Amino acid sequence: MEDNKEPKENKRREFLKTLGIIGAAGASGAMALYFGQQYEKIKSGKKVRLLTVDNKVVEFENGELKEFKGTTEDFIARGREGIPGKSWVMVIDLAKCRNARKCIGACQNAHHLRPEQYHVNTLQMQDSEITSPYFMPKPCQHCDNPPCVSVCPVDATFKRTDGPVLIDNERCIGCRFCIAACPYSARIFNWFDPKDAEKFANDPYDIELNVPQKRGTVSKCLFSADRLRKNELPYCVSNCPNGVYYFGDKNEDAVTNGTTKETVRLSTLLKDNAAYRLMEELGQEPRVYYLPPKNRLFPFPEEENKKDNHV
Amino acid sequence: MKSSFILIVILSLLGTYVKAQTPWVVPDDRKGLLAPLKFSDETRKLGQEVFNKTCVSCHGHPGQPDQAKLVPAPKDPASKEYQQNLDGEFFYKITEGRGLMPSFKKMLKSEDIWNVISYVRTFNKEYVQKVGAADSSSGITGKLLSKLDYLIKDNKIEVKVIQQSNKMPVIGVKLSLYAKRNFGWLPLDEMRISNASGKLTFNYPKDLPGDKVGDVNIKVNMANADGTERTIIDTIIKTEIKCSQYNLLDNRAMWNVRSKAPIWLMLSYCGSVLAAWGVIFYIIWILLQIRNKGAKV
Repeated sequence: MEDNKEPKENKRREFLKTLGIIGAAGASGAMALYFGQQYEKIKSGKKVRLLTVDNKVVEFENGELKEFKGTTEDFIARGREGIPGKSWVMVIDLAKCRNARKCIGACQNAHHLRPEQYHVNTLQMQDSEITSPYFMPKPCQHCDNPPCVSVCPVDATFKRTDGPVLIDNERCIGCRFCIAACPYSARIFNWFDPKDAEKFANDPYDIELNVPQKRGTVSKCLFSADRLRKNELPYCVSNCPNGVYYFGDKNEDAVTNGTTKETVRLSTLLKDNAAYRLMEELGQEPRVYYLPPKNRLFPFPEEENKKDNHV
Repeated sequence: MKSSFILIVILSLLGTYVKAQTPWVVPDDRKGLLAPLKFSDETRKLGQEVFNKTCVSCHGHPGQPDQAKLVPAPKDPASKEYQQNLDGEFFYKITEGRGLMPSFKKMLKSEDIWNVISYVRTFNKEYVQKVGAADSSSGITGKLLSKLDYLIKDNKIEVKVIQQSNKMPVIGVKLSLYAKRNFGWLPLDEMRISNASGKLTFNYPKDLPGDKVGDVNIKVNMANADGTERTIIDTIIKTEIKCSQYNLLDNRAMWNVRSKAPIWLMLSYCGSVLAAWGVIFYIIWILLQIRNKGAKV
C-alpha cells in the first residue's frame, strides 16, 4: 500500500504540472489569437485615427502611419463656407511686371495644370499704336457680381462670403456656360486628362485647391483659397520676384506685397496711383485692382520673351 | 535758340547718365558693422537657401553670366567689384536697398542677411572674416521698461521708455509704430526719437479699421544700430472704428438655382405663370359656353 501511495502523489503533482503548462499555453495562445485577430482587423482596412503632438490627425492603416488629409465631403463642406470677417482683394502693379512668369509656374504647379493651361497669365498689352507696350498679369477677377455664377445651371461655381469665386468639379457637368459668360476669359476647360492624373487619382478632392483636376470640367483661379485658410499669401503673390502683387483684406484696409512683405493702406495705394479695374463699365465689381504702368521699372523687351507668351 | 535747346538736351542726358553711375555711398557708421556670428558651413548653407530664393532672379548664379538685364546691371556675386564691399556695406545695401534693388529690412531677419553674406563670401578666396561683438544692437544696454497710452480724443499714442535698473528715462531711442494686419505689420507713423524725459508721441490714423469690436493689435519697434528692429511693445488698443463687414451674397442677382432664389421671386414667378394659365382656361371656358348656347339655339 505504501508503495502505491507515492506514484499516486506523483500523479497528482504531474497532473498539476501539466495543468499549469496547459493553462499557461492556453492563456498565451488565446492572447496570441486575440492580438492576431486585432492585427487582422487593422490589416483588413480597419483604420485608427490618432492626434499627434503637433496637432495633426494621422490614420493607422495596413500597419503604416500616414497623414490624414481629410475626405472630399469635408473639403467641400468647408470650402463652401467663407472665412468669417474677411474680404480678400488683390492689387497688381503693372509698373513692376517684367514677365518673369514665376507666378504662372507656382500656380500651375499648385493646381496640377498642364503647361498650356493658365489660371493666371501675363499678357502683352499695348493700348494704342503710339503708346508703350507693357505686361499685364491677369488672374480671375473674382467679381462681386459674377456672371459665371449666375449662369451655372448646377450650382457648381459659387461666390463665397469672403470674396473668391470657386468651382466644385464634383458638381460641374462641363457645359461651359461660365466660360462663355466670363468677359475676362478667366476660365479654362480640361479637354484632356490632367497632368499626372494617375498619381493623384486616389487623393481626396480639395475644392479650395481644385485638385485633383478632372477631365471634362472647368477650372479657374481660386485666389489660392487653401493658402488663405492657413493665413498665407496666394501662390502667385508669394512667388513673384518683382513685387508686382499686393494681397490683403479690404475690411482691414491693408494689403501686403508678396515680395517685399511690405504692408500698406489699400485706400492710399489705390488713390495715390490712380488704380483702375478691368472693364469696370460692366458693373461686375471685380476684386482685382491694377496700378497703371507708369514709370516702369523695366524696359519692354523688343523680341525677347515674346515667344514665351501664349496670348 | 536752337543751340541752347541742344545744350539743354545734352545736359539733361548727362544728368541721367551721372545719376545712373552714382556710387552707392554707405554711411561711415554703418560701414564698419561686423557679423555677430562666425561664418561656418551651416551659415553658408542657410545663406545659399535664402540667396536662391530671393537674390538669384536678378543677381543670377554666382560665377555664371545669368544676371538680369537691368539698368544699372545687378553685379555677379563672384565678381571682384562685388567682393570689394565690406561686410557692413553689404549689410547696409541689403537692408536699405536702392532703386531696383529692394529693401530686405522687412523681408529677412538680420541673421538671414548675415547668412547670405557668409554664402557670397565663399566666392572670394582671399576673404578673412572679422567677427563683431555678440550684440550689435542699439548701443542702449540693460533691460528697458516701456509704457504706452492711446489718447483716443487726439488720435495720438504716447510712449515712455525708462531703464529697468535705475528708472532713468532713455533719451534718443528711435521707435516706430505698427498695426497688425492679416499678412503683416502696417507702419502707422514715421520713426520718432525719445526726448529728455524718455517720451515720444506718434500720430495714430483716424480712419484705421479695427476688428469687429474695434480692437487693434499694435507694436512698437526699437531701431538697432545695424538698421534692423526689435519689438519692445506688443499690445491691443481699443479704438472706435469697427471694421465694416457685410455679406457679399446679399443683394446680388445670383439666383441660378432654386435654393438660392428669394421667396418674393418664387411667389411672383409662380403667380404670373398661374395667372397666364388662368386667363387661357377662362377664355376656353367662355368659348365652351358660347358653343353650348349656340347648340341650344
